Amino acid sequence: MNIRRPYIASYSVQLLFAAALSALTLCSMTSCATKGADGRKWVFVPVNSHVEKAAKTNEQPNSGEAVENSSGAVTKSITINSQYDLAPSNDPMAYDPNGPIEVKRLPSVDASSNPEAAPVSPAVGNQVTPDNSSSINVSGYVNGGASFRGQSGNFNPQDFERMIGGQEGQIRDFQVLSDVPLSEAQPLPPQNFAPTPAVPYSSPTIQDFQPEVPYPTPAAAGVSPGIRTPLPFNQPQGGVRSAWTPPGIQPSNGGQWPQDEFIADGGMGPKGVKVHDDFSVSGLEPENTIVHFDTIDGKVGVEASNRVEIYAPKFRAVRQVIYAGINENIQKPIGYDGTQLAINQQRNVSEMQSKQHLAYGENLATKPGEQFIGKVAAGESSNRRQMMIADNSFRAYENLKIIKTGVMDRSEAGVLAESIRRAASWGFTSNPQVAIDYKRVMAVVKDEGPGIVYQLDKDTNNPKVRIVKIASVEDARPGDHIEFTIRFDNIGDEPVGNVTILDSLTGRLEYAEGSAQCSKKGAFMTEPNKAGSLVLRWEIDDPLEPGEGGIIRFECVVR
Amino acid sequence: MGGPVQGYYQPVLVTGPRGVNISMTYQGEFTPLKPMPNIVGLLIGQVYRMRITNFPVLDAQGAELFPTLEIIDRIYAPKGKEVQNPIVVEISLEDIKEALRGNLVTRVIYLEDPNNPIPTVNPPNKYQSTFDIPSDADPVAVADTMGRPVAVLRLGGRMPIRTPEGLLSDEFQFGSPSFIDYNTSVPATRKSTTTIAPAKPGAQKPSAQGKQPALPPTEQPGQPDNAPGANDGFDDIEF
Repeated sequence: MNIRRPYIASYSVQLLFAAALSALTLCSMTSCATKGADGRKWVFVPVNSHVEKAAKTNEQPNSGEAVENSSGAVTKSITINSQYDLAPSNDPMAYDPNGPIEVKRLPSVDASSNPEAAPVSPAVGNQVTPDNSSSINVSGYVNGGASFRGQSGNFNPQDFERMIGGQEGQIRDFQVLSDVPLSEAQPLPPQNFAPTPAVPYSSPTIQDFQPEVPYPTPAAAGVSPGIRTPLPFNQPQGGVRSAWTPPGIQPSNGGQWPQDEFIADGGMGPKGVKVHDDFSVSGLEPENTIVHFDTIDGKVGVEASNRVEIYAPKFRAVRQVIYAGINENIQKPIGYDGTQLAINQQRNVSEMQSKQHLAYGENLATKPGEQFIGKVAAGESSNRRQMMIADNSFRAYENLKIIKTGVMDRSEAGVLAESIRRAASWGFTSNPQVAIDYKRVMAVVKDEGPGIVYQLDKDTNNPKVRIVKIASVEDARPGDHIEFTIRFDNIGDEPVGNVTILDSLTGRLEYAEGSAQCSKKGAFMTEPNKAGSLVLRWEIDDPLEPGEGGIIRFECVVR
Repeated sequence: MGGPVQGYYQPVLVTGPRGVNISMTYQGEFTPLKPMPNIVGLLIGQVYRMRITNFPVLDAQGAELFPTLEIIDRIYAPKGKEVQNPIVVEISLEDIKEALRGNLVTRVIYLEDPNNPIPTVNPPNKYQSTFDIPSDADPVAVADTMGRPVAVLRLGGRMPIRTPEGLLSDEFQFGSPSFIDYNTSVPATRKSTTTIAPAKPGAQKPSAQGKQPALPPTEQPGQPDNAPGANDGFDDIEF
């Protein structure tokens, strides 16, 4: 035993040294990502950066390093250590310092077991070293909003996740403020980092690339996109509007726009909508706007519209009347005629009887919206009549190419965003995804940011109907009229039939009788919903050919 | 959610029956009477004393009431539209009648929960509907169950208490917190709004009893940008 003790001690030292060496080796091989508290990785991929180009042409990027991973796939892993890396000059593919940087998680790929699925693309790009081996300072804005700063010593994954709010998205104005002097480096802006205690960080391994904890998407978090989710702070403005939040809403407070001041309409609930054989619909919640259609092969498709939010706070009052005599007692004056016994004072009756005051009765019967449930049998159509054909003229707020022609114009993205959500910004929760069919090349404008994703759709038999909803005003008061316009288009590659658009109005909106218009021949019906308002239903008679669309317009009164 | 920020003036629309006039308190006196509705910017958490008169009620000629208004939360209107979307405080004719009978009326204004709206349209020429609760209930608690309380109006309180110098006492006017008086009759920009700053301790107050203090017509010259009311965020507002 005595002989083994020095050996054990020596072995321990060797182990420690080996572990440190291994950690350094791993760090150099994978010093490309920050590791989150839950093991997730964050990778920065500058859009159209020279790094990506270098990867394709197998060029050696500036001050970067090429890494050949264990699967043999050549990837470029560059440690961000200077501003020069991100902004090379005279390069048409140069990274735009004001442009977006995608923040992605590394894929759940085990390159050793599946070489074909090696992280080629996601691993290409600029990545932040989380360890303390070099000094890295970064700053930027997440989604055009919350700013963050960090230093390598303090810029640990936990801080990073806290700074960016744990969300994937895009980082704008990302800067690497390196302490490493480089001749080509730009002058560094003044640094004023708040000292924070360093958090120990373990070197990442390939196993760490596995998603240990699913990313908390809104759906995974139990919150459906578009349904009563508080707006995140400072969402991107589609590249058009500047970020603004009212005073008092700060990111440090977990600032969110209050939702009780908005009227929302559109979207679909988390449980979805089911269309039955008799074309009745279940699961349609107030505020939902959907379209359902039949395909050639007999399937039923359901698509939801974007959400429209209008600033329309509604005030009510609770009134209480307290009578002055409630707590009074009648006092006997001193020196009253002594012929009457003082005990008689007790016979005085207090004016407490005035407590019997009856409150104003005219509003006592007012009940919450839920109590209207079941008042009218669901599904009972109150009327069915031919729709009015929409006016040929377009409204001022409809002056958008997507509304007029159904073709999305990128230059109108910001205006469309404002029409969809006039009172706020592009809503992360409103999830207004617009797909465009450019001869099988689809451009998807996502709400996460100004980026545009092109994808080549080679599949056929891809029926799809897009539905876009906009409003005429951005704010309204009780009694005001709001005009809504819904544009529906068959953006698939085959005809669809039995196209039915349903809009279940929120309880704050009252349909203006006779205001419904539709550019397609069909029927219009209304039926009560459980919010005390109506479900508007348009049934289009003729099938929609690919590329064909129409417009629906109606008016509501704000309650 | 965020919350009130120091120095934010929440636009409040005080309205009532046609013909009723209203005034605020400023440095120990009431401001000149103005017809309702009146839009003022009020600090959150402060209590404001007002005077209303000229009631369309028989046998109430010359009568005055001195309600208090407390703003307990703010709303978040789109930028540039704060004044167009104020908190609406309505003093109804019924409220005035109850107060003239000597009763105390408490009206808690709340923002309706859109998840649970009452699907009724407000009657024409009426800003907000009201429901009454018994005297043993807590109106703020009741309003909290219905939505988000934003203001409390109390009508039928005490008569003015004046100091030996003839000024309104601080107790009566709750320290006369500053407010912004939006001139609703003339389209104006920020320069034409009048910021009423609270009286500084020891400052000389207007001494003439019964005289209405003349409000400064425009912004005080030389007023720094960080003065009370200057950072109100309404630079581009037209109303």
